[in-house]
Amino acid sequence: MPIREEQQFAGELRNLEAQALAGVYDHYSVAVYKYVRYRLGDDRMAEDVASEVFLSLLESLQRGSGPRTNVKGWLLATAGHIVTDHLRRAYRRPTESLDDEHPDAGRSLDDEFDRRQRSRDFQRAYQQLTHEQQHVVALRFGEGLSLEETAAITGKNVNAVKALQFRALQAIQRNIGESPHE
Amino acid sequence: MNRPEDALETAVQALAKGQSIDTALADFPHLRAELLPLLRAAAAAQQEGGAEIPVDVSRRLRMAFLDRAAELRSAGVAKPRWGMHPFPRLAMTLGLVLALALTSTGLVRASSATVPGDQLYRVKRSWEGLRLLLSVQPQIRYMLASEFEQERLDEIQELLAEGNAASIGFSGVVSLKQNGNWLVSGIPVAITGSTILPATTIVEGEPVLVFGVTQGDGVVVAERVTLLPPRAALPPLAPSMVHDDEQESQTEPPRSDSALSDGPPAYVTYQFTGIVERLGTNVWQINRQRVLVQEAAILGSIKVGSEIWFEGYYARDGTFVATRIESTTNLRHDDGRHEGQGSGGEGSGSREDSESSQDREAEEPEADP
Repeated sequence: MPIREEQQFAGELRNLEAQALAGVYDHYSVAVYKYVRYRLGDDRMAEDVASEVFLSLLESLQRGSGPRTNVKGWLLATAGHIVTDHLRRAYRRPTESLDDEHPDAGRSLDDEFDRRQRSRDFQRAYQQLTHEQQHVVALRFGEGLSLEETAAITGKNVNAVKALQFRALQAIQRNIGESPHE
Repeated sequence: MNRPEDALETAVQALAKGQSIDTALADFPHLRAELLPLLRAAAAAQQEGGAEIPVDVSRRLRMAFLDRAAELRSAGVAKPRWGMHPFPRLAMTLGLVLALALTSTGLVRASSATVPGDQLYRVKRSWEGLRLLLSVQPQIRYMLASEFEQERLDEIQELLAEGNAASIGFSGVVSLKQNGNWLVSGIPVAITGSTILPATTIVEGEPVLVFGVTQGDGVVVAERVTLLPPRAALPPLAPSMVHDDEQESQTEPPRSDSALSDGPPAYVTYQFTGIVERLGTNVWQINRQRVLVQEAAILGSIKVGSEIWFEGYYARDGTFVATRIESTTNLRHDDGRHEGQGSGGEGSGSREDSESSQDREAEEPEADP
């Protein structure tokens, strides 16, 4: 944040000032949506949950809590909790939204079919991970965050994140290998 | 590096930089058999990323978020901030003011003419924050906030005129966009490849918050631009260079460079809310800015101090010409009439109400803010 100090910005957020909130939305909505979409694999659910994340921010700010410095970290951590709750409520219902995608005009039909098949296999494998593993994979590979950023958001140390990542990728590879399409 | 977890992390980072799986594993031949399937899984995980938020979804989310924030703000007006009883808060702030007055009056006065980058600039901003905190009445708070936003524009104007570089932030309205050259409330702003812009495209007429650095060539290079909500409090219309005479201004817009001033006709409509500070025959002062009103349709009873909603356009000389002015009290009776109004239509310039500004002039004495 080049101009305003973090503390001043946090103060503006706590006062629910429109400019500060609009800035937060414009700056972080892409990251939040990307994360949620990655974890849920469904556009409609991603919209609902992303909305819930930002409304949760408002409620927290009104209570006098909410982010103090790392707004993005707070939003992604909150998104992680909300997605997990959502998945628990939904009993991990599989989604088939990938079938609704429009074909990519730049690919041949075979390539497009293969891409979708790989994507479906990955989604199935990913959905079988623990919530914690899903969280780490979404942050590292969906958001492109560093190990340190991921550790800060998950509240774990770097070595623990490395171990989680290792086990998550092992499980994905194993689950993809067990896929009927392999 | 013997631990497979560490080697995997190194290989994952190489993969993220665009290296092939084979290259990423080249440093770990002894772990290749173990890591190869994991790195393939990592590559698949990377390919699943990158879903962008659709524009319509982003707009819906943004609107829901800011609408809810507005609801919470209005619901929280009656509550003392920080859950503190008003009397202790008042006593505390009065004590603080007294302490400041005794110890630092000179400091505050000395800081009043500072600009970003000066040593005492933080004192000036802190003093502004304190004054806002002490403003109990929302109307006074609003006027003060507007005055401070105006001060931001004037500071930038001064930095640009002197060719000094400093980090700045200000609110304004985008009145012109030509390639990477924007004019935001009279300030020339350069949008570069590294400027962070919102997901949705900013169009002329939208209020924005600009963070950037002033340059020696009279332009602010934007680092980040964010959108303000459609009905945000009025950002300043342009840097003050207020002419007290009430003749229709034919002056050039302040510091607009030639590339920008040769832009498209400025008949794009803008909507604002603001506080009337002075009522003249043809010119009103709203939020410290001159607004021409002779073309305006004026609805509702308006006097000095009234909060109003108004719409209009920028004339080529940078003057704001109102086409419709309405008391917000009037609007509340008919709430929703202006909901969803976007910027960027043709300026109507129509006169829908027979009540002229001269009529009101007779009712309301001209007053300084």
